[in-house]
Amino acid sequence: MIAIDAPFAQIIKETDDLAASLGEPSAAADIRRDGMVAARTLPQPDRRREEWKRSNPDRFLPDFSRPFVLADDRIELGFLSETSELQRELQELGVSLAAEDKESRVRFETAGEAIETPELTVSSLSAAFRKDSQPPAGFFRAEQHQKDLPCALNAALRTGGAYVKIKPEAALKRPLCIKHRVGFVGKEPDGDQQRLFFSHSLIEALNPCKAVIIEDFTSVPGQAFKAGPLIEIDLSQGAEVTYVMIGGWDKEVSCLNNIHVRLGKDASLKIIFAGIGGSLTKTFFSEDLNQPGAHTEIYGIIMASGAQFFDNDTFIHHKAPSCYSNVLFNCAVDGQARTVFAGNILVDGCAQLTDAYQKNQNLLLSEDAKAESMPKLEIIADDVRCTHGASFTEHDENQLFYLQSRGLSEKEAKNMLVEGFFGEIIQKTGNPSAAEWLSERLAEKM
Amino acid sequence: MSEKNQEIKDIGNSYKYGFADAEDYVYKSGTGLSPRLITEMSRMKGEPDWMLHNRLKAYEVFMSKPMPSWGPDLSGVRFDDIHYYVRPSERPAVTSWDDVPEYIKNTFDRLGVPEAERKHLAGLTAQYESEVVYHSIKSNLEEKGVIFLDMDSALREHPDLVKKYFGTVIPMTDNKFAALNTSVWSGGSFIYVPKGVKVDIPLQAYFRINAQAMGQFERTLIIADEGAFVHYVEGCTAPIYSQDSLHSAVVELIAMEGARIRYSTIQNWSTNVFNLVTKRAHAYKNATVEWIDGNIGSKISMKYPAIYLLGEGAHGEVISVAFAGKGQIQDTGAKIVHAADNTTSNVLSKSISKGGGQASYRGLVKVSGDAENVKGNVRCDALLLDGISRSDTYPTMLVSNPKVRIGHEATVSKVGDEQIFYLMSRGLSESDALAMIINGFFEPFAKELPMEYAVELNRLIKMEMEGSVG
Repeated sequence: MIAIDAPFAQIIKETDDLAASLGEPSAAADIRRDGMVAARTLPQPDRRREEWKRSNPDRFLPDFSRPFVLADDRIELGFLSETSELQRELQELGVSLAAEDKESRVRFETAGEAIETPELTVSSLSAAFRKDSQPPAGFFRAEQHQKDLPCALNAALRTGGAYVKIKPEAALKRPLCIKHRVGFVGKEPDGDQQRLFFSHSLIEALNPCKAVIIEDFTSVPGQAFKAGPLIEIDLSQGAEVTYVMIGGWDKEVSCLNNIHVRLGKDASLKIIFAGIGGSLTKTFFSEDLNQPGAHTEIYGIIMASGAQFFDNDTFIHHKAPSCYSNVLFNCAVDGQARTVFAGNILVDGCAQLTDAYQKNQNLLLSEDAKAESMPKLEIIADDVRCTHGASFTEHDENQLFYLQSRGLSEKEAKNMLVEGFFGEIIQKTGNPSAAEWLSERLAEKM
Repeated sequence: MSEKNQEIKDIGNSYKYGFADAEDYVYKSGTGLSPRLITEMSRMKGEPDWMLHNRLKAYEVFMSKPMPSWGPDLSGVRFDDIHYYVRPSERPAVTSWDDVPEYIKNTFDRLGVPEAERKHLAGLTAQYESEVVYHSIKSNLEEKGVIFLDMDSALREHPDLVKKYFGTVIPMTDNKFAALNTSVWSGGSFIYVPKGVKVDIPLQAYFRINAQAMGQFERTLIIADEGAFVHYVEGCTAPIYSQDSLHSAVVELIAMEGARIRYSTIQNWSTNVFNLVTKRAHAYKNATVEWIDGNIGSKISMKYPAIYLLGEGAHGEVISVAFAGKGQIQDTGAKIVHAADNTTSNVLSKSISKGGGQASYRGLVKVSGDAENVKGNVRCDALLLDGISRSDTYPTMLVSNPKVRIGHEATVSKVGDEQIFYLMSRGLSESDALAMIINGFFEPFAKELPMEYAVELNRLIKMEMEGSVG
C-alpha cells in the first residue's frame, strides 16, 4: 500500500480495497475511512508525557511517509481440554494416543474457522462483519478510533482479530482458545516498504454467563514488523469472563497492545497477560469502572530476556461505588532486558466503598537486568481501601542451594524458582487446562 | 479528653503564629530579582568575589530553567512581586539574646524559642527575614572545634571550608529553585563537626518570615567529619498575609565515613507561603543520614529530602508526616539513591488529608548497576478524614542490579468503622476513639522527635496534631 500521508483520495481507495479484499460490507469500509481521517489529523503521542517517556512511539507506530504492507492473521479456533480426561475417554474406546500427545498435558481441539453454538459465536472480525453487514454491537462503542491515534490506525488498517460473543446464561465448560498466526505469506515486502499489522478483537458477553477465553498471538519466525493488537472487552451485567492474552511473538516484532474494557453492573473480568516474545512490547490496559459492583483483576506475567523490553501501563478509573480492582504484575528479568510497570488507580469522589489493590513484583535474574516500577494512587473518596506495593529481589540463595542439593543443576533450579514465581498468577486462570496451556507456553521459552 | 476532642476538630483550622510585627527594616529590597540587586546584596554582606560570581551565574541558570512541569500548580508564585532581600538589623548576628532588637526578641519570645534554648539546646540560630539575628553555641562544643554559625558569618570566618563544600551536594543547575536560592541566598546555618566529635544535644535553628510578600532563601550546609555525630533541628513560622510569600531553601548535608547526621524539621509556615525547598545529603562509607520531616503548614510544599548513599555500608532514613488541611497541598516524599554496595535505606511516610487538602507522596528509590546487596524499604500510609480531600501516591523505583531487596508498600484508607466500633465497645466515646487512632497513626513519627529538649517543636505538633506527643 502507499504511504499513510499520501493524497487522501488515494489512501482512502486503498482502505476501501482492503475492506473489499476481506469481503467486508460498506459499513466496515466507512469505519476504515473514519479511522484514516482521524489518524491523519490526530497528534502523534507526546514523548514528554509520562506514558511515552520510556518507550519511543516511533518504534511502535508506522512511519506516515513510507509505503507499507500489512500482515495476514490466520486464526484457528478451538477448545482446550486436559489430556488426562481425553486419555481416559479414549482408553475407554480402546484408542491409544500418539506419542506427541502424551508429552503435552493439554490438548487443542480444532473447531475450524467459525463456531456457532447456542452458547457462543466466534469467528474472525471480518467474518462477523460479512455475516451481519454491519459492525457488531460493541464495536468501538467508546469511539476510541476518533480520539486515539493507535486506535484510529487500527480502525483503518485492521487485517486481523476475532469476534467472540458469549450468549446469556452460557457457561463454557472448556476454555475457548483463539490462535493467531501472523505473517507475510506470499507477499514478500520490497526494500522500502514497512511491515505492519493491526488486529482488533472484540469480546462481548451478555448477561449472566461464564467463560474462559485465550488469545494466543504468534508470528512467522524471522519476519520483523510492528504489531498493534487492539482488544475490546465488553461485559454486560453479571457476566463473568477470564481473558488470557499470550504475546508469543517472534523476536523481531515490536508490539503495541491496547486493551479497553467496559464492565456492566456486577460484571466480573479477569485479565491474564503473558508477555513472552517480541523485541519491544508496550501494553496499555485501560478500564473505566462506571457501574456499581464491577469487579476486575489484571494479572501480568512478564518473562523478559535477551534485549527485550516490556513497558506496561495500567489505568483503572473507579467512577462508581462498590467496585473492586486488583492489579498484580510479576516480572522476571534476565539478560539485558528491561521491564517497566506504571500503574495508576484513580478513585473519584463518588466511588465510595472502593477496594483497590496494585502490586508489582520483580525478579532480577542477571547483572544487567533492569526493572522500573511506578505504582501510583490518586484518591479522592474517603471510604475506600487502597493499597499498593512493589518489590525487587534476586533469587533466594537458600532456595537455590536447597534445590541444587536435591540434584538439580543451577539452571534447572533457577527455572523452577521462576516457575514458582509465575505459578501464583497462572493459578488465577481458575481453569486447569487454561493454566496448563499458559505454563506450557512459558516453559517453551525457558 | 474533651479538650483533646476540640483539638482534633481544630486540626489545621487554627494557626497560632499568624501575628505580625510592624515592618521597620534597615533595608528592604524592592520587588523582583535582578543582577543589580544581587550585586548590591553581596556588597552589603561584604562577600568574596567568587560568591558574587557564583550568585550571578546561578541567576542566569534560574532565568533559563523552566518551572517544573509536574506536581502542584505553581502559577501562583509571582517571582516579580517578591521582596528578595530584607535586612532587619544593621548588626551582624549577635551572640547574646539581650542584644537582639526588642521587637524581634518579643516575636521569638512569643514563639517560645529562647526558653527552650536556655534550657536544653547546645546551640541556636534564629533567622528573621533574610538575616540571622542571633546565634549561640555552648562553649564546650566550641572548644572541641565544632563550628556552628550562620552561613554569612561562616563565609567570613571560614571561607575555605565554605568554598570547598558549598554547592557540591546540590549544584545550582539542579533545578530552578536551587538556582534561585544560589543566586539570592541569605542566612541559614553552617555546621562543621570535626572528626570523632559527638554533639550529644541538638543544635537548633528557627526561621521566621515577618514581611509581606517576602522571599526567604536560607542556605544550610552541615558537614560531619569522620565518626562525628550531630542532630540539627529546624522550625519555621510566618504571619498570615493576603499576599503570598516564598520560602526556597537549599540544605546540603555531608556525612563522611562513619558519621551520622540527623536533621529534624517541623515546617509550620502559614498557609500563604510557598515552600519549595531542595534538601539532599551525601552519605559516605558506613555513614548514616536521617531526615525527620514534618510538614504541617504552608500553602504548597514541594519537598523531597534526598539521600545519596555513596559509600559502602551507608544508611539512609526518611521519616515524614504531612498534614494537608483546607487549601493546602503537601507534595512531599523522599529520594534515595543507592550507589554503593551494602547500602540500606528506609522510608516511612504518613499523611492525613482533611477539609479538601491534598497530600501526595512522590518518591524515588534508585539502585545503580554496580551497587550490590542493597536493601531498601518504603512505606506510605495515608488517612483521608473526609470525602472532599485527596491523597496521591507517586512512587518510582528503578533497579539495575539483581542483588537487592527493595520493597514498597502503601495504603490509603479512612479511619475504619470497625476500629471505631471496637474502641467504642470498650467504652470510649466516638471522638476519643478517633483521637486514639490518629495518635497511633502518627506514633512512629512522634517517637523520633527530640521531645525532651525541643519544647517548642513539641508544642507545634501538639497543637496541630491534637497532642499526639508528650
